[in-house]
Amino acid sequence: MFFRLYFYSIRQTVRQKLIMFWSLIFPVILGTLFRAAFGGFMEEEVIFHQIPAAYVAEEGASQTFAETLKSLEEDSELVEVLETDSGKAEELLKEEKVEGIYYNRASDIEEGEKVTLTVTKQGMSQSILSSILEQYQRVFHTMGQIGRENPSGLKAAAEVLGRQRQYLKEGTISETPKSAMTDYFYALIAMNCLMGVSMGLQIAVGFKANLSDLAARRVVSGTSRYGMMMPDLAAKITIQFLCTVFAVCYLMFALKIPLGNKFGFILLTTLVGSLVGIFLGFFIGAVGTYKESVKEGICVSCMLFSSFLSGLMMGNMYRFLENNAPIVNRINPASLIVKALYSLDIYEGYEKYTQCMVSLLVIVAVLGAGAFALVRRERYASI
Amino acid sequence: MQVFKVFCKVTNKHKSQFLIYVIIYLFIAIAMSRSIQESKVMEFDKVSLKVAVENEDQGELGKGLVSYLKGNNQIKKIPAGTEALKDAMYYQEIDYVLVIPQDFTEQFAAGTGEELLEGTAVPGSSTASLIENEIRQYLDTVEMYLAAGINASRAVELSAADMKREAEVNFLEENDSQPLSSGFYFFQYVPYVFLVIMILGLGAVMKTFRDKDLSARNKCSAMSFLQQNVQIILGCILFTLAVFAFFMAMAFCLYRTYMCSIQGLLSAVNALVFSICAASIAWFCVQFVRSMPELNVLSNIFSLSFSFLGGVFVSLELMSEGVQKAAKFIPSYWYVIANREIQKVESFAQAGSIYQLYLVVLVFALAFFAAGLLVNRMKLRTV
Repeated sequence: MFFRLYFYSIRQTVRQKLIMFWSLIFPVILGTLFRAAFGGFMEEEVIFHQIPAAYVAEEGASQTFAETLKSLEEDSELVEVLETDSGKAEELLKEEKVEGIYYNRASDIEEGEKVTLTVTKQGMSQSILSSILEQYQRVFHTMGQIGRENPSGLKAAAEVLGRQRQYLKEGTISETPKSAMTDYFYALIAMNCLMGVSMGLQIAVGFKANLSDLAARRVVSGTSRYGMMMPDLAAKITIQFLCTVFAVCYLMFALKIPLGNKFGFILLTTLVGSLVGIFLGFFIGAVGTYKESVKEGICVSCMLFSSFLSGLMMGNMYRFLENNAPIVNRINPASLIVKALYSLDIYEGYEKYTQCMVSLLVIVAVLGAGAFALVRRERYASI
Repeated sequence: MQVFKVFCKVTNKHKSQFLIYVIIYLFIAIAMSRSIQESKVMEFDKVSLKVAVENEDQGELGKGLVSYLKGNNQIKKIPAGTEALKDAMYYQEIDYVLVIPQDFTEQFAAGTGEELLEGTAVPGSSTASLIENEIRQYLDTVEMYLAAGINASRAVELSAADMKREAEVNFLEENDSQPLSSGFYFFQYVPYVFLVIMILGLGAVMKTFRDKDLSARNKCSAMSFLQQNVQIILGCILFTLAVFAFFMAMAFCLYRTYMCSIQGLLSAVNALVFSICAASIAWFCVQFVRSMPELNVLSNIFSLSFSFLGGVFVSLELMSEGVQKAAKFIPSYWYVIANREIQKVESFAQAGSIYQLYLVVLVFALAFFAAGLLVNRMKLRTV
């Protein structure tokens, strides 16, 4: 009987377009959206575009900084310099056609100090412009200092400037290069797993006589409730798992997101994640006598809220919680899924991964036990 | 006002559901604004990172480097063993690990060998490159002194002094330098929250009136079609205003000084304009749904896609140019731009461009309303 009911349940679930949409299509849409939004960041192609900056030099000002800017423009394509007068430069800055203005004054103070930067906001481009100036001034000051301490060494010091020495060796803590954006995709996988709440809710609806006619019929039948429930659960878990696998494959192979190379373990994580999703929905459905629409609302809100806490909408949410309320990161299913995937990527051993998985399984056990206890021997005086 | 009364009754019937959404999304908006504010402060001010340093070097250079890094960062003791190190990184206790080898000073002075230091960033951390840049600049300076024939201890001393120099950065207008207020971050997330609440809330009520039998009954009633619609529209306006008023009251409680300023008032108008747009998107969505779960799907698609592509969750600067161009066809993009512009305004007379942005969002509202009408008409014909 188990397998007959199992296959019936699979057919029944697959025919529910809405549920299939949530589990199958929605993650694909969201993944594509993420890819569009972070596309540039992932490929590092557009972030470091040339930064437009205006350069205003007073009459008689030294040409050294202008030359430095020119070399930065031509050799490293870091900035795009527009030499103009003060009025025009301010106009351009206000219209946001340039990100900052370098003013080079002709005065008697030390050479490096004559240049200042004017901006309208604080952002990535402004930081880069400011660090260009800072570096220039520091080098200038250093050269001046050498001139005072040991003038004969100036030439040797200038030669150092031209050399690009690599001082730092990348540590060997993790082999996979990871972008900050990957966490968004982990959170997306976590959300996809938790989308099982809709299917979980359907199981509960099928056994709560006040919610559906099917449940009313089942409750009065002679067959054991568990005998009917188990195939249903197994079928929903199977479908949810397959949907999640589809989404993971779409991310990894179609969108080419680097999610690590432990594919088997990623699948295992999604299986346990799907279990959490299904049992969460099942539990919410089993609690109380609220209408299905209310429960549906709670399910979707829980799923979205949990995903939000794991960093689906804000990349630094995990860190924020770790600093302010670490307990949330230890019990929130989506955070645990994200962390399990993350630890697969950075650790060679599986200790942290196992910890996350055990926590997830404990959540499954608690939700499952709660849901079974609530559905078990439920009797209705009137519906 | 029979229809209006029914509208209110239906709304009242769904109140528990609405309350869940309002509370959850209010919490999300507050948590998001808090967490982004924290990360933004880190991004633009002098970044202070938690750096674990293992200094095995006996010479001056190692000590000099550590004391230089101490100036801006928190130096922590390196945890013993790779696993402990990984744990510390996993729980974000440290951001960067730097190992200075035994004979660093000698090797560096001899100018032999590259990659002398071993630096490891937490995978996925975007701030690590900043500290690498600091180390590189410092060592470049030391190398210049050494090349000029100045001894190591003096070179370390002079380099530390040089590195303290900062570029002079001015702001074009005085209030440009003000950090963005927390009120700004609260309003940043309003589009997401309003879209979800309007589509789910208004959608749920409007859907009731679109029920096939009910609308057929209403059509043959004595009340004119126009009168019925006017009352429904009145109901929608009341609902929109209620949601808007609730969020503004919250904003007023949390960010009183901001809300009492010109910026606060303009932000509130911006939110009101967007709430009208969200209401008309809800009207558009309701044309396609037959049940509450379907509405749930649409609310998530619209809210998440408009928020991700419109620059609500992810800064617009991070997106590629193509995506930015596409984002211009999304109302939340204009809302986000207006929200940013509002922070620069000092008087109502300066807010000319902001009024234009309001107008753009209102045009979107009109477009969605018209599109909804069109779909409505087309569906009426096919019945």
